[in-house]
Amino acid sequence: MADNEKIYHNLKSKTIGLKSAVELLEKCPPEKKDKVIRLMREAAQDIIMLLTELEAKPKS
Amino acid sequence: MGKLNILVVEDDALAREVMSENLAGHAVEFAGDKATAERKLKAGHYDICFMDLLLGENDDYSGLKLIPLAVSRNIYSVVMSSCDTEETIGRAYALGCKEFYVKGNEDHNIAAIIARYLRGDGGKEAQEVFSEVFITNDPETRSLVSEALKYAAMELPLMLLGPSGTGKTTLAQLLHGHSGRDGDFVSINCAAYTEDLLESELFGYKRGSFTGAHENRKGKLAQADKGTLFLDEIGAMSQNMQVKLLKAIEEKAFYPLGADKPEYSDFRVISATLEDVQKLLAEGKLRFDFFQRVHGMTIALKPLAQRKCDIFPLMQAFTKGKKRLAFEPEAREHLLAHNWPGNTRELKRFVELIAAGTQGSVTLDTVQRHITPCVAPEQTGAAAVTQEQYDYAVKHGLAAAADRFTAGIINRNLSENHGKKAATLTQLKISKCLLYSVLAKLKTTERK
Repeated sequence: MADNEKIYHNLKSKTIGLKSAVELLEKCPPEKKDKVIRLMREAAQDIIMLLTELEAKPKS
Repeated sequence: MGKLNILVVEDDALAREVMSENLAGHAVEFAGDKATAERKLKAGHYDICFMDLLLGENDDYSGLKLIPLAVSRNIYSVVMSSCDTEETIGRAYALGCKEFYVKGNEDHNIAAIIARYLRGDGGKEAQEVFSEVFITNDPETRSLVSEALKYAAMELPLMLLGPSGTGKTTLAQLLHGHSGRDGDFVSINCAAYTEDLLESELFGYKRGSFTGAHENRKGKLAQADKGTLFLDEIGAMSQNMQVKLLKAIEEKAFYPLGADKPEYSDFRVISATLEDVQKLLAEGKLRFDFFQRVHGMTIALKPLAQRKCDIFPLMQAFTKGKKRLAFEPEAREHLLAHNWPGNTRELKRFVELIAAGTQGSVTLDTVQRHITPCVAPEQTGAAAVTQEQYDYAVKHGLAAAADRFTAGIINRNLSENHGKKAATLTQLKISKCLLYSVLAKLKTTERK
């Protein structure tokens, strides 16, 4: 998979993951909520890194 | 629903959490990489395997390589990936995966996948369906019902066609049972009510909305919340009612009689009619926009006369737990020769009569006594009249409408016979006097 293609795939995967997690969060038992929020934060940080990577790519 | 053994192959921790929550109630195991997945697939016994395709950084679709292993272990393989190029989907299916989903919307998709797995097309559960619920040995009907069951868990509206007694209500109940919807199966026969009554039955009413409305009453739409609304004989519904109902189907919201606020209901529609839908549309009895809201998939059931292999299995089912019947060979032949215009309803009534009145084997004589050879009447009732014809008759009187109808038929027949009056006189069996008087009237109208 080409570099750019990989970034877009990972972006898609992480954002979909976040969306699904938001839906889950609403009905999540309190003891699980913290864990889901932590994982969501990590996914959000990954998204920021991927976007930074994308910005750094030469614009064609 | 039984507890299933499920393996989820997923490298992303958040996605694993989402899957874990959506698969609650089942025995779920996880594998975060290809090696773990292989080990678990070889050692464990799983019913379903959900697999991601890209496992870890710099991975080259190693999830695809797991599909043949899962398939060889007879595991129902489902790909859930955010990589959905046509090529990847094609490769996954070629390797034997049963379903391919793009990640997202898991809460809905996973329930549908599990419902489909449990239904097991052609498997044990399908056999149970055809031997206990919708009894049929007819290959064409079996394939039709199996096809319909694939859509049971979807929101898609379904339309069931077929003469009276062919099992439309049974099929609708079966589809509801396989829909995974928590609510009730609510059925209404639209032909059994006048327009006003049908409206209050469907939408319900508020106390004081009309004389006799002493308390609030929930309508069928509200009763079918999270369930299925089965509209039988939709062809009998007035145009006005169709407009109101199509709005409710589209918006999932409606106003009970006398209410000033809308009520909401998440119902799925299954409709049925014994009439020819195309004819209903052509005659303007069924509005096209309403038809579009209710006919997502159409299933046409065959009459019993076209699936006689079902006669004896149905009889067995009707006498289950009761007195069993044995027929002499001539009696069996007679039963198979009969056309059963009333379909399963007629067969059931026949079985009840025979079971109550006979001892020992059933003879030809007894069968003949209880079966009257007859032809089913035209089930659409009176001769078909289009809405336009009806409106014309109301406006101008029946005589004028009849004259107009007669002129229309004669004119068309003359045109089809290239103006040859002799052919029209013979085909329409009319007098010269009538033909010439109609032609004279037509000429006068043309001049005007």
